[in-house]
Amino acid sequence: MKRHAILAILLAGAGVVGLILVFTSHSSVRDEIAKTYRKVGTEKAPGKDGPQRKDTEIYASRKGVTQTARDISDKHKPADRRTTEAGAFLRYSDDIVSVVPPPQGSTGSRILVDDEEGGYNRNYFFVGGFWGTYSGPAGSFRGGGPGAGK
Amino acid sequence: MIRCVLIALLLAACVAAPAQAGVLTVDDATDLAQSLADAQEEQDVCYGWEITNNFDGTPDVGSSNTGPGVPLAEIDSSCSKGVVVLAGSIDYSCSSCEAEDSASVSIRSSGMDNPPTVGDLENLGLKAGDLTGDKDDTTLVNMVNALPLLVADRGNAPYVPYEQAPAAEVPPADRATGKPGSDFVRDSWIWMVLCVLLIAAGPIFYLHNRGQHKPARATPPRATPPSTPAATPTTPTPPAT
Repeated sequence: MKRHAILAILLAGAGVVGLILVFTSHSSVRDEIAKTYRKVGTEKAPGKDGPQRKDTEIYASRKGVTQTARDISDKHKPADRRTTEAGAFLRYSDDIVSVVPPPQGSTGSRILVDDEEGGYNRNYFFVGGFWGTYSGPAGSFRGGGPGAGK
Repeated sequence: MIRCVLIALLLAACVAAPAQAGVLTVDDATDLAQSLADAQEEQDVCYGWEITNNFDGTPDVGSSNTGPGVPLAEIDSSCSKGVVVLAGSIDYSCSSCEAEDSASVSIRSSGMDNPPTVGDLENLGLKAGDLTGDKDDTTLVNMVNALPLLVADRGNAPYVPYEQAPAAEVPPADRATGKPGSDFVRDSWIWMVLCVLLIAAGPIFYLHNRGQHKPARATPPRATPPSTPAATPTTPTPPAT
């Protein structure tokens, strides 16, 4: 009888300890990126000014765009994601993470961490209409053509 | 009379609705083809998509040099670094059938040493099974849009440069909608459920075992009938010799 009581207390205790660990060990995607990647700059986030606004934080990753986006989303599952020819965009509750190609001449990738307004405005042509309202220009196929735009 | 007017309005709305084939709307397919065309300019790689389905006679097709609705057919000098096409099929089962909806994709490529694979798409969280879900159009657009990124990631061509939207081109009224739920819950819900189950398992285990090992209640002594003289067993005595 006593043995069963001890086992029951151990089970419930393990649950309580686990719950405490879950609550105390969780970090935001913003913190995780700051801990994992090299910070290369900060800039004013796009959009209106306001007391709640956060600056854009810019980081560098040694890995390519796909692998870096995967590493981030493996640790912090995004609520939504958008993949385009020019980068992978991950949407979180308060943040938008843009994993984009590095500046010309560099390798790896660049990570931009924005608040929701900053990320939406910055990536309007990529996420507009997917994650919010879009009243920009309607699409029409203009084609490319060899050498055009280079 | 009112019913006739309503039916007429409904018919008119149906006729006026833009023709849609497959998963993508005409506008979505146009935007997609244009973004591939822009990538083709940067990379000299031609891109296309060909997704068949069993719910509509018309497949989703398009390419960077033919536009929406036309498959990538002729390969010209603008494809000097190769060709990459997302191919696949979506099969919806009938509502009374036991089989489930299914979808599959593959990447056809030529002219490059290290072409992208379906595994690369999965690394980006893009799974063929999602083509049968509610966000089938978004999944298809993401898959096709990812091709130039994967081609660059594998070193076949330069990245398409990322350019942020100029502030002047973002209408002030446009904003993000549908705020996602808590990141903490999304990351940790499975652990929270497991811990709560453990916490609940303790008392349940205890009560269950207490019920099984309850000491048997002492039974009152059975009333015995008044004793009657019983015949005492007699042991046979060996005959005297």
